Amino acid sequence: MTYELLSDEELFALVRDENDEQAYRALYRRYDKRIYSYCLRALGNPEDARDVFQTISMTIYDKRQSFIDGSFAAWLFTITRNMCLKTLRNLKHTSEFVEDLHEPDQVESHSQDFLLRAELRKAINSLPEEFKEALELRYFDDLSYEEIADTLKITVSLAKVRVFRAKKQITKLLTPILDELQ
Amino acid sequence: MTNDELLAGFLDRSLNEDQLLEFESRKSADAEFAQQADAMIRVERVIPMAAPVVAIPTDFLSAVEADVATKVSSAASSSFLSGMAGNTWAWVTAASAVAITAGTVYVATRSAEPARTMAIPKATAVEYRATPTPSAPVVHEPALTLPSAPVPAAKPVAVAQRSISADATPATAQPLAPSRSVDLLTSNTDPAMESLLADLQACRGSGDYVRCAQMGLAIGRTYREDGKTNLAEQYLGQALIDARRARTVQYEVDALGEMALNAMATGRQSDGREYLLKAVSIGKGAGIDVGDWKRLLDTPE
Repeated sequence: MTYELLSDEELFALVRDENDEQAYRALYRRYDKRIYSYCLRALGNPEDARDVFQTISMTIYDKRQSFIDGSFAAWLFTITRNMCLKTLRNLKHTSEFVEDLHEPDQVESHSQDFLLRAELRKAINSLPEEFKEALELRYFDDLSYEEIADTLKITVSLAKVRVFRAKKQITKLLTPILDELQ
Repeated sequence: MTNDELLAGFLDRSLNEDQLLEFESRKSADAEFAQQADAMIRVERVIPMAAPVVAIPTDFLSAVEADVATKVSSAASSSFLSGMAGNTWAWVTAASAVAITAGTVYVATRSAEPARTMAIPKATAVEYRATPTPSAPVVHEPALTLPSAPVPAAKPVAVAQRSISADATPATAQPLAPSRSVDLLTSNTDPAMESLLADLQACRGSGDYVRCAQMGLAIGRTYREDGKTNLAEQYLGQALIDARRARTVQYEVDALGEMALNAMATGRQSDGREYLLKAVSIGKGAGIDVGDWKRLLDTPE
């Protein structure tokens, strides 16, 4: 069997119904970095991100029987989101604090890119939370509108509207900077 | 459709042909709309740059994977055992198998070395595999680390193009730019290849899966043509994953086709056919020309 050819849902069915270790590993590798990145983005520090990531990995397997149909990605991100929110509540973090923390401490080698990134992040952080979340799920986590809708428990059209409005607001904020950089 | 609906559809690449024409004509007729559309297209391109570049703790992720994988495999074993417990006939069969094995070993031992005392066979474990053995290796992500330097999103992949022969890849809708002067075929320690590998490594951090898929394809194809099938499999598999993440059906089809050629080159004909079937099915569904892959599929083995 060639696992790369199977969809997420087919792989997960093998894990759930047959405890197929290879299917589990193939599926894990499709999502591990994205889920870890999401956790880090949401929680703001690697220690918490690791803890939650580990819990999510176990939970996904332990709760395997509860996934029957629909999009695996949406189910996975729903669990991830809920775990992160729960952790944030427990840690009593404020979103502002998190935003401050999760700025990557990398050295930007290109000043224009640095400026653009900084402005972009500022623009995204200024969005209403529901717009920001939809936009990040779309562009950072590569979810489809259907998956975003499932994850956020909203309709597909509302997911589209939120992403579009987020982009529109960012465009307003960013256009002068992009013009300047050009 | 309103301007916003048209623009949203355009940005999501979900407009049909008529709507695209409508979009273009409205842009031509309405300067304000054109300006707004251009601005949003420009912003759309740079949004992925805002994704925080994170250092992925690969050792940690591997450790978690191993932990849960152990759980999965032990669950497989225990479900087998519990299945056995509820099935008397299965126990009888297993016990018989153990007895026969023990007897066989005993007789064989006695006849080979009559002076030796009876060999007690080790406890016989009935081998059980809940999982089908994969005939193709699981795709392992090339060991790449995330860069700290940003990668320009629109940078084209520049690799040498190769001629299409009977076993070569059908042309892609967006062929790789043939601007690199060094032919990847010319040497094993090709600087062009090294540079491409470095670019791919850098690309990982940019989140530009389209470009990663494009480069992974180019690298995998080169390795395949050079007969380095294991490396080819690794990079093509990753290109397939990237293409799916980017929802670029053309690259997904190309990756599957290349994987088919690679599998066939290593004698795994049935895997190759499976890849081709998938490529053709996905390509047809998306309205992509898969004629070359179809012909290859129809070629008698």
